[in-house]
This record gives sequence, C-alpha cells and structure tokens, in this order.
Amino acid sequence: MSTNFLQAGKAFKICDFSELNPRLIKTLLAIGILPSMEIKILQVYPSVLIKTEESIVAIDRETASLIIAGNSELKQ
Amino acid sequence: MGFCEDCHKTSSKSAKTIEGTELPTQGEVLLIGAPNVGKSAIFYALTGTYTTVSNYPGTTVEIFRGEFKFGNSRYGIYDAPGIYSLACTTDEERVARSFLFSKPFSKIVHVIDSRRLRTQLILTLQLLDAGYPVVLVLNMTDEAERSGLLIDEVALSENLGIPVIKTSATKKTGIKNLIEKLVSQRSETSTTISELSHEEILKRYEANSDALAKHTELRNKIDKTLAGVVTRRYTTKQTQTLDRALTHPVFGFAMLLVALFVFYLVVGVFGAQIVVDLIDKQIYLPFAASITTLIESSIGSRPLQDLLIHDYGVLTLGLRYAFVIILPIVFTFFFAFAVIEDSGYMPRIAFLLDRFFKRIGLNGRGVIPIILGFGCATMATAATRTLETKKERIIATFLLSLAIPCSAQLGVISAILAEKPLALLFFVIFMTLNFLVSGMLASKLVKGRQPLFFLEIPPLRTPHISNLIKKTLSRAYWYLKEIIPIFLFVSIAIWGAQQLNLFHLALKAITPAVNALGLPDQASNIFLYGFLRRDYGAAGLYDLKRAGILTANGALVASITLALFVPCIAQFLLTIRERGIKAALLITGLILPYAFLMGLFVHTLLNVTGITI
Repeated sequence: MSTNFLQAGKAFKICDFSELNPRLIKTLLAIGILPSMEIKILQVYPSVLIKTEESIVAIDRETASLIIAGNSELKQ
Repeated sequence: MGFCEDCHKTSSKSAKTIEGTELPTQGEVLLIGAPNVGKSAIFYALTGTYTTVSNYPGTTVEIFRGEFKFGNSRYGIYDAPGIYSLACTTDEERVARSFLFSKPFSKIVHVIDSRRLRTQLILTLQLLDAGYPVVLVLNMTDEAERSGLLIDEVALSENLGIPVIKTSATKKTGIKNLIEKLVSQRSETSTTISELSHEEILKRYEANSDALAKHTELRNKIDKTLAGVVTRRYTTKQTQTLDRALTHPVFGFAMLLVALFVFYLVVGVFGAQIVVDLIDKQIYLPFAASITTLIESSIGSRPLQDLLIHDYGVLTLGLRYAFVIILPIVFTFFFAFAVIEDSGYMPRIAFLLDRFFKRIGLNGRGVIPIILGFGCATMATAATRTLETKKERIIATFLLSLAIPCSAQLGVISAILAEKPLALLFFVIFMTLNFLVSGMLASKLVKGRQPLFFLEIPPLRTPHISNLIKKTLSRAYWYLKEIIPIFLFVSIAIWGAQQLNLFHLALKAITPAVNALGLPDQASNIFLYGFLRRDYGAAGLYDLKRAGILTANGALVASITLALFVPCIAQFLLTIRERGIKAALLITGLILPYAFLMGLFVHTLLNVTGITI
C-alpha cells in the first residue's frame, strides 16, 4: 500500500474501520483512535507520529497507511 | 515497570500487610486505569509503599498490594497493570482484568489522565455498565490545567453519578479527599463482584464483530456526559523544541548517541572506576587488613579462617564483590536509568528504533523491555508481557537471555576495557552485531505474524529528584537483598568445595575450555562463578584484570564470553514462568555453548589477524 501521501504537517481523517482486522480495531479504539477522527501528522520518519484529539501516538507506516485514507486530507 | 523487585512482589506481596499481621481490613480497593496515568503514584501516596513510578506505558506488569489507615480502620489497596478497556489486547491488560474478576472489591478506583478524559472515560463507563462501585480519579490535573484544560469535577460527578476526585499524585494533592471518599462511600456489602457475570462482561466487550458499534455508543454517551464539563482556555504547543529534536530522524539519533555516551560516563567511568576505586582503597583495603589480622589472631583453625577471609572468604570475596564492586555500579546505573524513565525519553527511543526492531521480529514496543534488560534481565523478562504477539514475547525473552548484559556486567566490563578504547569499541560493535544477527535468526525461526507498532508518547517531564532517589534506593535495596544471600552462598559453597577438593576438580574440568579461549588457568574461577550469577563472574573478572593476570586481548575475550553467558537463576525461573520450562531449557541450553563458541571465535580472530589491542 502506498504511503507517499503521508506528509508531516498535513491533517487527515481516520478511515472507516470495516476493512481492518478486529485486533487492530480493538487497539485503535483503546488508544482513542476512531473512524472519521481528525488527526495531524507530525512526523513520518523513522515512523509516523500523529497528533490525535487528546494525545500523540507513534505508529508504523504500515499501520498509518491502513488507518489514514490518502483522499481524506483536510484543508487547514 | 520497576526493576526486579517487581518480579518478586506478586502473590507473596499480596499476602503481606503493613504491620505484618493478617487482620481483616475494612475494605479492599482496586486501582485500575490505562497505562501511564499515575496509578502507582496514587498507590504510593495512599500507602507509603513504594512501587516503581515512571513516565512510560507498562511500568507495572504485576499486582501489588498495600494498605492505608483511616482512624483505627485499615484498608487494603491493589495496584494493577494498565488496562485501556475491558476488551484486552495484551497480557498485562489481561492480568489487570483477571484480577478485577478474581475477588470482590469495596471500591474500584478508576484513575484517569485528566488530559485524556474523553478517551479514558470509556473504561469508566464499561465498569459502571458492569455494575462495579467506581470512584473516578482525575489525576495529573496540574498538568491539564497548565495546558489550559479545565474540568468541572462536580458537574462530571453529577453526570456520572459517582464520586469524582481531582488529584496530582506526585505532589500528593487531592489524596486526603480521595481517602475520605473511599472510606465514607465504602460499599456496605462487597459480596458481589459486579452485577454482570464475567462471561457476560467478556461477551459484551470482547466480541469483535460489533466492538466498534459498542465503542461508538459509549463515545456518544461520553460526549453527552462531558457537555459543559470541560473548558479549554487555550491550546498549548504540543510538540516542544526539545521533543522535536529527540524524535528527529537525524538529530534524534545523534542525541541518542550523546545520551548513551553520558550514560557511559556516569556508570562506566564515575560508578565503575572512580567510586569503586575510592571505596576499594579508602574503605575496603584498611577494613580487610584489620579484619584479617583480627581473625588470624583470634581463630586458630585455618579452614575456619578460610571461610571468612583469604582468597575465597565470605568477607573478602562474597561481601567485597557485593558492596565494593557491584553496588556502586548498579547504584549509578539505577540513578541514570531512572532519569531516562521519568523524563519520558524511553517511548521516544522506541519510536526512533521501531524500524530496526522490525528486522528482528519485534517493533518499537520491544525497545522498552530490551532497554530495561540492561538494568536487570529478570525484570525485563516480566515486561515482555506488554508485547502484543507470542512471537514478539519469545524473541524478546530469547534476546534478553542471550544478547543483553545486565548493569553490573556492563559497568565492570566498561571499566575493564576503558583503558583500551579500541577494545571497548570492539565489544560494543560485537554485542550489537550479535544482537541483530541472533534477533534476525530468531525472527526467521519463530513463526507468527508481524506485529504492528503503536505507542502513546507521553509528555516530556522534568524528573522529580525525590522520585529518582526513592527509585534508586528501592532498587539498590532490592538488589542487595537478592545478591547478598547468593553471594554468601557462593562463597560458602566455594569454601566447602575447597575443603572437599571439589572446587579444584571443577576448575580442572573447565580449564581446558577456558585455555582454548586463550585465557589463563585463573580465569576458570570467573566462569565457575558465572554459572551461579553473571555479575559475580563479572566482579571476578574485574579482580583478574586489576591483578594483571589478563592481557587486553584476554580481557576482551573473557568480557564477550561472560556477557553472553547463561542467565542468572532469577531470570531462568522467570523465563519458566513466562514462557514455560521447555523454552527456558532450550534457551539456556543454546546459550552456554554459544557463549564459548563466540569467545573462541573472537580469540581466533584476534590471533589470526595478529591484532593486539
């Protein structure tokens, strides 16, 4: 899956969870990441840092590309 | 997560009371909440019983019990590992949930990080839904208020229908209020665990198919609950300059190297050289001279003299190793390590190293137990339960046994090799390569899915000096408590074996292997000690080098072999508990020949290339 769209400073929406495996869904829900939630990418290397509603979460690029849809970039 | 004291304070600690009696209490309270919200700090503020408090998720992976008093009444209180919600994903969460289900509690204190109210109220609602008697603690309110977040706890209490208390546990504010709530609103009866059976709770929250729908329902409830409760005055800059630098793709790694170098200066130079030398020359040597004279003049029997003094005496070998060589090293290590833990730097290192750790079948989360392993591999083995998959837990346990030397070993080895920087550099490169290669091999051999990386990054905090001192003293106390009986036992066993001529036979048996590594006969002692404890062997290595018995090449070969040597007894027992007897035996059975083979490899490499360090 392409991760080129992940760029620091850009804001996106978390995608729908219907395609994700149940374990990942549980993990995301536990740390407060929900579908349609607005997040901001703070850094993309060596892994991805995202700022959510209430915290900063480090995730790998693979997970980031699973949960952030490339076409959901928000105008700031 | 604390050092090894944590591994030994599970069920045995739970049976212990403050007065050492078994009198019934007026109520039993459970502290529960997400990782890194300050449960252990609340526990300490309530009970005065110190459990490790740090600034990263997964500090506590066991259950702790303490007590607090109100008037003449006593109350039991438990500190559980972090749990985000009743739908668990890691073993540490399961430990907390199983304990919640295990017995009736008069109160469940749900501790929340005030800045993460919206996310963490999910567990509050789940607990209330299951019928538990909940008291909600909004911890870290000082930090929340500094970031402009104001919470009306009275309105929140009314909306939820439960007591809500604001606290700042590290400053001990709000604790009196919490105690009053726990005492005055104690449930009259605690005969039922919850209104729902455990099966119903699990069914309700573990079912994967509609987890999202249930979560969304709870979030809607939270939105209604928080209406008019939370006010944000201004938004703080979330990522400060230092934070950006620490996680920066270039500066972050440079700062990590600087941090490692500072760590080496504190432990390897200050602790292992300056302090050890000072204690040895100024305190130990005069003491040893007087005690030797006293014992030789008052005890006529040579075997009895040997038990206490001379080459293998309890006072001149066992206690000397513990107090003069090992203690200053682990003390400085624990202090420096506490700074890293409390500042919140550890999750940032995990973030930086995630990609490297993927190559060895782990991910960034695996960095935490591996780093903890440099303090004590036994404690770090317990911390592997914070890892999500079985594959990760097996690989991390294996690497902790094989590739990670403990603080005492590292301190001694860095002191020995410090005078030859090239040897120290070779040691570091060799151990890093060994870690990566054995990790990559383990990753290929252990089947399982590749874990995904996710980790909450806590804010950077200035460590409280009082917590640093308390943590260091608590760990040093634990360490002495654990090693003194073993060191004494080893000294007495060596003395007994000497009297029966068995020690000589054992040395004779391993001497050919030791000689094959290019080491002198006297080095056999340290490997014999190493079978019992790696740090005891390391202390022996320190003495050999100082006596001029080892060459620089020999010191390097011996350091590498000892650093890879068999795990200590405590780590072996914990590996059995966490991974099973088969895995523990397999790991240990592999490590022993591997350590000697690697020693032989380095010796041969130095010989063939003609390198003299």
